Amino acid sequence: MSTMTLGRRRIGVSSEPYESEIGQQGARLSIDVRPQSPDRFSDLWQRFNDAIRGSLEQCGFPQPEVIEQREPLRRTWLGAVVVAPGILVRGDEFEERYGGIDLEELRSRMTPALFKAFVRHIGSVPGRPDLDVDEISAIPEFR
Amino acid sequence: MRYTAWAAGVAIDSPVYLDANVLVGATVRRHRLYTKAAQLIGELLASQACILVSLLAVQEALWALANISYCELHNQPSNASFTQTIYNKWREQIFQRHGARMEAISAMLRDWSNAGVAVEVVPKTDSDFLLVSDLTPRYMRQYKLTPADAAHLALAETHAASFVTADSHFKQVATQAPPNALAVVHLVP
Repeated sequence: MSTMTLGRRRIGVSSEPYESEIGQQGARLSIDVRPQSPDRFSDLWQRFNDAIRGSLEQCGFPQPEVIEQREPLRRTWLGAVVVAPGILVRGDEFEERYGGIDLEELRSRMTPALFKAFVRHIGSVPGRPDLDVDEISAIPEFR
Repeated sequence: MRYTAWAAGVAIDSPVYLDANVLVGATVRRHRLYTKAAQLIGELLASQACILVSLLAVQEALWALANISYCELHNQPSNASFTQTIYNKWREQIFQRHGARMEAISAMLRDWSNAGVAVEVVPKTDSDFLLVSDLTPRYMRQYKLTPADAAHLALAETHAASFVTADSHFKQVATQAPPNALAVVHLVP
């Protein structure tokens, strides 16, 4: 495999001899983009990686299956907690929003995109302890 | 109609109609139902349930977010009076200061949908709309509900297997109503 580094990304390209079922010879090309170190652009680069791999598939270069290595749930970055790629919250906010929720179990049952959509929105508005969500959702109907 | 006080691990049959208080309950933190509401939403998404929402629920959720924002602007308790007159007076300030949160519900539903969740709007068809319109006044009288609560119940009954709500009025309704396929799933502290 040949590798090159672009920013904090490592791009690996490998090729191997390939012979099709009808005897046609060629080469199998695969490409993989991985982070050198975790950062908040992981999601963007993952999409880039997926796009390149998808294009190669369409052009007749089957890509080997990549077994996704799930990142640890509570990575920190500059003092903030990375809940999902691109979703950073302060430590105290993490406890408020996700403290009582079994995030790891839910994440194991969701796609990365769905997990991200879930954690992005739950508890995004602070509110107050005396809030009654049922009372407050009633629009006055008698004017 | 069956009644279930929801707890973690209790299965919820799909499709699931969400009351406005559940949408708000999972979006706003620091209130007593938050953790349960968020966990319940997580369970629904993880189990790939079909989520049913109505314009009525979105409207009520927007009202709640405006109410919360008004109370924060004026350091009022959460049960402070919030009328349409007050809303009209402070609307501009609410949007200037908290405009982003007023889009929280629509952004949440859109992101769920983009991530592959079946998010459907009810009523789905003209005939569904007429059926809900027929049932709503009947339920207002029969179960002593406000027009909005009666409409939520009618929407749930005509489209859903489960109606998830934080409104305790529906516990009474579930015990009074004749047996049918709908389960009232109550979000309790």
